[in-house]
Amino acid sequence: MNSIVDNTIFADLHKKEDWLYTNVSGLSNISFCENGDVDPSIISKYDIAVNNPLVVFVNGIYEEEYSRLSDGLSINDPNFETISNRSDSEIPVGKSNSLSITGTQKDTVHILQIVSGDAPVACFGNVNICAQKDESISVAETHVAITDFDHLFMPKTEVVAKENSNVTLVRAIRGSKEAYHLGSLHVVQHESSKVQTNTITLGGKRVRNEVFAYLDGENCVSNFDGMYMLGKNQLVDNHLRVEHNKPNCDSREFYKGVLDENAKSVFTGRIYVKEDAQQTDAKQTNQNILLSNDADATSRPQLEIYADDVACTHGATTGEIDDEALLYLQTRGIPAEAARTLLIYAFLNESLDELADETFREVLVEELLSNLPGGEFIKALYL
Amino acid sequence: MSTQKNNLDVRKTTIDDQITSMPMPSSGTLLSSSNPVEEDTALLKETFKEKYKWGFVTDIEADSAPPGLDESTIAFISAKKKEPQWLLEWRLKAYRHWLTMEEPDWAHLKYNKPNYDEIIFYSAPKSLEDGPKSLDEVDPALLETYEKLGIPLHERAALAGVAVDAVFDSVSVGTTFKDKLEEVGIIFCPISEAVHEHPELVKKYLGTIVPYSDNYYATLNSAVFTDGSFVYIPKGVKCPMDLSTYFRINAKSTGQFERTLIIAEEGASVSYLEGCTAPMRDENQLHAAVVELIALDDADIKYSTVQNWYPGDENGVGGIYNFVTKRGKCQGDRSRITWTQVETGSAVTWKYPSCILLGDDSVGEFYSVALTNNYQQADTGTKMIHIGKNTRSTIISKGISAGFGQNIYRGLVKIMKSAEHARNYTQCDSMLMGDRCGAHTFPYIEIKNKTAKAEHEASTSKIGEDQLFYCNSRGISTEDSINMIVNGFCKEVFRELPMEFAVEARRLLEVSLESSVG
Repeated sequence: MNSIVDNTIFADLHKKEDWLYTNVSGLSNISFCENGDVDPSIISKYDIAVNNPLVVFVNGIYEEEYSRLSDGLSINDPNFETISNRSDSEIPVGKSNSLSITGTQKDTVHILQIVSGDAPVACFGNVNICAQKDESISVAETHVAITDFDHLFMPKTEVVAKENSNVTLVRAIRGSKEAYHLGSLHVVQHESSKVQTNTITLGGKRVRNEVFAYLDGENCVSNFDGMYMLGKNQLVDNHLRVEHNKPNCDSREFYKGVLDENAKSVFTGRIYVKEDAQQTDAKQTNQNILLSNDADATSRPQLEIYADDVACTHGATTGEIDDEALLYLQTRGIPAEAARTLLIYAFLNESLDELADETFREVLVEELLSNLPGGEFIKALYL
Repeated sequence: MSTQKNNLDVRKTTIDDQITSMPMPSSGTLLSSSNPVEEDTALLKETFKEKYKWGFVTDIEADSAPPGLDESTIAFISAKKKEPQWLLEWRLKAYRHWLTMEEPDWAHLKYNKPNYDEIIFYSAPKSLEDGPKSLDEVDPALLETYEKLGIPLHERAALAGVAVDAVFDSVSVGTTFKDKLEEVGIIFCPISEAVHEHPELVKKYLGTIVPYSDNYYATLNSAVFTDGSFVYIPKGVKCPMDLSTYFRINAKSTGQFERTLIIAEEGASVSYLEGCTAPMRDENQLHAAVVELIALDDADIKYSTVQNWYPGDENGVGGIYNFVTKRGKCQGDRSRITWTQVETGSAVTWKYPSCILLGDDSVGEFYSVALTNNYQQADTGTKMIHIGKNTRSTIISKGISAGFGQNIYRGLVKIMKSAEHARNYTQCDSMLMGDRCGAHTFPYIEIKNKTAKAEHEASTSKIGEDQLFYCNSRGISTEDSINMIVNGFCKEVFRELPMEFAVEARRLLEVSLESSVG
């Protein structure tokens, strides 16, 4: 038992059906500390949109010095509307400074959550977004572990989308490939609201991205998308539950990723359609490309349906890069390595293309291409 | 041949009588009603109460073990069967392991766990103690039961072309066609007999596919199994007829623990049918069977099941708990195992017939129709484990839910690192009838080889009002339209069944689904 987080719960978590493929028992033996410093130059490196609002947290503590708040943003607001816990998430919830966002945000609000220290750090993150009637909010979160320790970061984000509101949220996990990220996202949607989230995993050793969405009003539109590109010793577990509680809602889960070396991906998506939630239209897709024979992809696209007039589909595909496509590009003078990268990039770019924030997208594309052999060739073509 | 035809006709008449005795809607119901959906839902509720048509109990005094399970019960069973020491030890090893296990609760099922202290683990019809030397010596009451079930014993068996190893409760009472099968070297006998007559084969294969420690119910079965079938097809032999066993659960509070073992040597092929009916009961009965199949090089095993055990009444009271472990191993290159199942009975079904595709180029297939009505629950599917190169598997699952039924497809496709160029195709379709039932799909797809290709498709649908209207307007009654649509929905599975089974399965669905409207 650790003073910051009860890490004994991690020892047997993988014995549960929901954690079957993700073993984080290593966490139960780590003694965590709370504090750590961060070099200001690191913050400026990740501050990609200097004209946009920015909120910086280091190890769960708000950094006023580096932040730029706009109207509707508040820190540690005790009266802000939060979601009463409806999920069965096993990820511990703990204290940290919190950020609340409401009111229409013309410019994307950037949130930078940094975990850093000279020893393993455990900390939490709390972001609450509430779009009132007809409001529109766009948020981009970056979760970064700086130093190569077994840090444990447990960021929790809540989204409440009131009637006819529109929320766009991107969460990107970047930085060290040694840290544990156990994140959760809780979404409650009211009538005719629209929520688009995108979870991008590039960093981390064991990453769990939980999404719990409750469509509590009619005519909601929900897109929960994800993308990952992982290499040596990395694992991502995207775990979603989308509850259709009212009729006439559309939801989509679309996750795709590329796995190299001994990377592993787990996708568990559950679409739950309540009795009488008729005319539900739900889609669920997980696509993986394996670049190595040590890579491992597991998909569990699940449907739980209690209404009879619904259209629910799910699909999963896993494979390698198409040899014929590779040959085609080579015959047109593109070197094999660059052709491979081009095909991977094309596969992943489908998810990135839809990112609302252009600056954020460019940064991610840049990072993606820098990690791939032959990426310079593509950059010369596109950027 | 003519007798077989008569036999089928008799059964057809019975079903036809039932159909005509049901309150039939006029073909114009949909047209005349102002709110067709509401009206049909009412109709559904009224006429879905199809009574279990094979609910009868034969009065035979059973020679049973006392209720509950301890090592002495196992010794009792083993002694009854005059088993060799090694088998008793194997049972005890399983029992001791079982004590350390917990009953699984990961399935999407809600039921009261069986009280293992109340179950009678052994029950044999007493009149068999001396062992009948021929069918003439078989208790007439038993034969009467078979009569009602329409099992073709005596010459009827020969005419029907089916060899029957009929299991009544836990002891096999009659085996036909043995001579004919022996001519080509096929062994088809109760497993208790095989233990004595072919101990080397039983010892070599028993528990190799489903180990005694496999899972809670399989371990329980390993400890207390009472009987079942044993089939051995020698090298290069194509079994000249479909082999068949009927299972029945009879004496009160008797769990049925069958153990079936089928071995197909190189180049052999066999088609095995398993059909089940059970008498009406009020308390839940446990059934935990284990089936093991082994296919060596170029061998081909086709295992078909029609399961129609008592599903409980319309309020969900009673019914069979069907917790079955079925697994086949394609051990040899180019071997093939096909599971086909039609599951319409049981209150709770927990069943995942699986294939381990070890041999290169081996093939595993799973075709399933599962129907849940009233308060029935079925968590069923398959596991395809690809280990050999170029292994292929196909999964076709059709789930139909009506009333308050819950139908779950749970399937695993696992492609191991060694399975170069493995292929899987999965299709699971659900059909919902009524707005208080559920259809769920829980696939598990694990890919560890980049050359593998796995495809998964799923759909959920209901019988559309437009489809019914189309049929109605052409003079086809709502009943017949539904049967037609459901049969079309299940066609891909039915065509995998042997002829007689296909006929039976189709009728079973019709009877179970009378007057249902989506």
